[in-house]
Amino acid sequence: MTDPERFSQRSTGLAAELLRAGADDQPGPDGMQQTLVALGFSGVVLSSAGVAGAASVGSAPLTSAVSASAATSGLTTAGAIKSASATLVIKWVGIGLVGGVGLASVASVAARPSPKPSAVVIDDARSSTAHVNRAAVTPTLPESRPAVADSPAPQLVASAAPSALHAVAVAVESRLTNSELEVGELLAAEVAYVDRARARLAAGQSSQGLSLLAGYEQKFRGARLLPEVLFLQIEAYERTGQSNEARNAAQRLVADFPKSPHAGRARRLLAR
Amino acid sequence: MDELESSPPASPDRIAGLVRAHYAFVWRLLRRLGIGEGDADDAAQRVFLTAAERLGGVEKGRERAFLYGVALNVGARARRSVGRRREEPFESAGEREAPEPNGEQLLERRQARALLDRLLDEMPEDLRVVFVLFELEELSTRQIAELCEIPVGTAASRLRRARDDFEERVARAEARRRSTGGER
Repeated sequence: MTDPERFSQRSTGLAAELLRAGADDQPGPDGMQQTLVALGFSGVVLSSAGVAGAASVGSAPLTSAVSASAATSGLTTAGAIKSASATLVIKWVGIGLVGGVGLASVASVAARPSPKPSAVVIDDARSSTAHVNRAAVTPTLPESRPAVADSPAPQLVASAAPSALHAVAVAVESRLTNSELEVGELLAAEVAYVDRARARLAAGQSSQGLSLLAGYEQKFRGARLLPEVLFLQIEAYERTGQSNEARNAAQRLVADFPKSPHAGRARRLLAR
Repeated sequence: MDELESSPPASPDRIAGLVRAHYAFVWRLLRRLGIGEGDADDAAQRVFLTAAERLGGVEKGRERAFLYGVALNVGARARRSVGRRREEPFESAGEREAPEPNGEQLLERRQARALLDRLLDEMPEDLRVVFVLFELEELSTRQIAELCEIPVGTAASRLRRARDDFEERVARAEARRRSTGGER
């Protein structure tokens, strides 16, 4: 059976014109990004901007954490996630952040040598292995430390399973009350916390996810991922039929973060 | 459906790959099936969130057909609950299509799309779906038959009727335009 010639292949005529216009219609740049974010793949979206290893979707949870934080902080990720030492919880090297408070802090975390070996080792995600040496993430870190020339090769690989990410989150959050906690580490903890909430929501555990999101601002005074949190709240409230709460979150997102990539969605919700 | 819901979760690779490969298809399909521009992103997102939950039970190579089914359901629900919004309250055409060089062409294309959507809105649903898949997504009748789970002959016959129907509507629109001095 042969298909007829499509109207759009005709050179003239209103039908051809209309169909060509329809075929040219393309989604805007935000739609796919927001969908990937909602699915927990925010790192993948920004991988082309230079997050090494994030090209593999399997690496999304951990790398997404970093790039999501950069995105929601209005910063630009120009480098790659690297593990410079096997002794810190997370080392971010080469995260070029243009402007913002996070720049200096993240860079300082990246550059800081660590006092003890093997704090966290995350093996390949496909083996879903995460080893957390809690002794090595005890709160007190010396003010200055000698460089560790013979640090083992980086062991934080790009592919981290959710369970591994959770292990990192637990390790980092265990230090939240310590005043010496670096801003960069706090950011990592924030990202991990939000990713946990997101994972709960994705798993259909709405009340637990929402509960985590509700506690976010209290837990993290800087609340640098607040636009992301508000966006997730909107999503979750909408999915659970809590339209008033969704609108409240949307109003706050629009009012406080009008230039956020998520503000458009919030405005559309409020326009309904 | 129950079988799908109880299926094991799909891998992150597969979910992200699904979004990347088919987002534009789903978005355009939703638009041409009657979802307003301001709601299409949200509706597309709902399609993929729903699809992600059930993807584990979908055979490899059948993702597009599966997405199509989900999109039809989501689209129908969205149309019922929100209704079609023809205006863009917050996003101007210029913002959406900034790369377009010529403002006049842009406006014309936007008007053309508005007219296209109006004509498609008036078509019977079964004809509209087949028409959109053939004329806009450039699927063959065989592919359409597979997606819609109908015999190829039925797809071909619906397409024929859909094209006749569309041409008639276009002719009427053209006549109206002429009678109103060029206004669409």
